[in-house]
Amino acid sequence: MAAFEELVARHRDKIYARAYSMMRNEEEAVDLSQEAWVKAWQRLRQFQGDSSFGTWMTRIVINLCLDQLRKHKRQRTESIEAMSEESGGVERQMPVVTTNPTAGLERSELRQRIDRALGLLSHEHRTVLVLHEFEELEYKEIAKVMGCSIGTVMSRLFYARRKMAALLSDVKKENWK
Amino acid sequence: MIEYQKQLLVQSYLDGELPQAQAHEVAEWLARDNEAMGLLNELRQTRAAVTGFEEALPLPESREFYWSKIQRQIEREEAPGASAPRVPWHARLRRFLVPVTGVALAALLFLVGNRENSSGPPDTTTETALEDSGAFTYHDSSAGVTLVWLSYPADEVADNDDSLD
Amino acid sequence: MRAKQGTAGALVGVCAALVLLAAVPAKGFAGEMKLEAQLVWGTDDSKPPEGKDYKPVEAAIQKKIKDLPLKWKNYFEVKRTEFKIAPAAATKIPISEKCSLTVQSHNDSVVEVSWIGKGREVLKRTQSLSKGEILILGGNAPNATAYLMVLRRIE
Repeated sequence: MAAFEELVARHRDKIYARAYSMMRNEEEAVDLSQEAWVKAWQRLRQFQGDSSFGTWMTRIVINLCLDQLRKHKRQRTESIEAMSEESGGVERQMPVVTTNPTAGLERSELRQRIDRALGLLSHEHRTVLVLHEFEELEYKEIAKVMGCSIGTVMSRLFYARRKMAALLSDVKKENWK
Repeated sequence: MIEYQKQLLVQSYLDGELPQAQAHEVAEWLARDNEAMGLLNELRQTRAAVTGFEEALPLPESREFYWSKIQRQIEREEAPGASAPRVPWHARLRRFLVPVTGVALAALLFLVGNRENSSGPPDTTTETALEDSGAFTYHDSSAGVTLVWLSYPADEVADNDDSLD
Repeated sequence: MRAKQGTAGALVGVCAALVLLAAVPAKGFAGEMKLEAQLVWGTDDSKPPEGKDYKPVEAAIQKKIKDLPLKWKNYFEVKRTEFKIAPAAATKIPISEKCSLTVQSHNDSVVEVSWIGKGREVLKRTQSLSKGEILILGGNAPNATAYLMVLRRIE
């Protein structure tokens, strides 16, 4: 148990961060990350070392988050931004952000903007972004995890990135055609 | 404005998802098309900005507190007999009542069961949708409006819009 | 011993009372539910297509739709139908050759709505729907327009 506690200490921030990126709620992220650790303890024998322990752990917490998001989905109400994502196809018409969206930003301000921008995405778009950018999964792996087509993964990822670029560079919505 | 499918191609190129031959073609196209190259740069810069974000998210609890909850849960689940349920109070009560009121209970259950069956499912909001329907819901209780938006079927409804009798 | 008999007797009495109460008829259904289904077309065009005499949706529905985060400027009523649903009976409302709605009530205030497209159930939603409230099922339609199936409870 002491050795396991050491593993928890070494990886806990990363596992929590992954849960928070997906759930956008501190309390839920803490609960799910702890649940992931309990599951990891129970399945430790199944860990075969073919991936790093950190990778194995993040997969456990991602699956728990996805299960929780699916439960939320039944009765979830979407933000207005999410509604406009689905009903507009707006990302196809957004002007390209020609300046580096992060240029001139202090690290802390950039983190705040990214955090805010992630919070404005719908959970489907945020999940694809997390799985691709943080978890570094390929399109087909993301499609399998999320239970959707590769085409859906591509369009959601595209939307998420374009919206992030616009939010990071403070492009006003009125400028979108 | 670049066609949408081509925009996605730029993304696939950036993410290394294209076969080599196609990636080569896209690279040549990007070299000729400033708009496409601009899009590639934007996607690349956004990716770079987002990738490092998670590193800066520390756990909002102390190490000891966080670990103590995990440890307690593990010990709870591993404790012998931990999952054996206590005898619930109603089972104990039933053991006492059955010899005296068995008929009354049976009658009560029969009548209540009949009423439940005629009411149908419980009064809660539930929704099930096809996986690819893209359904999601917006609800405004003060306005008394619920909107369920589907990305399916996009092209079916307008086929014959005079069929509502 | 006498105390135990007294307790048992009290419990029998409680159970008998419960049986009697259960025998009182439940509130159950007050009767039929009256609903209205409107097929609405959302567009940025100021007029309906050539040859179609769609009218703009009524003001009350227009207001509710305008409060939603939908982007279209104008909404036209394509068709409207009123119907009643008897308790626990399902009513089918055709929308197009390939789509229909099936509506069923479960008690005084809960409806179950199924959206059938190409023979498959695309969506089933069960929720309470009081008088004056509306449930809208919508999606994108060709030429950057939208369809909205507006279900309103009238009575």
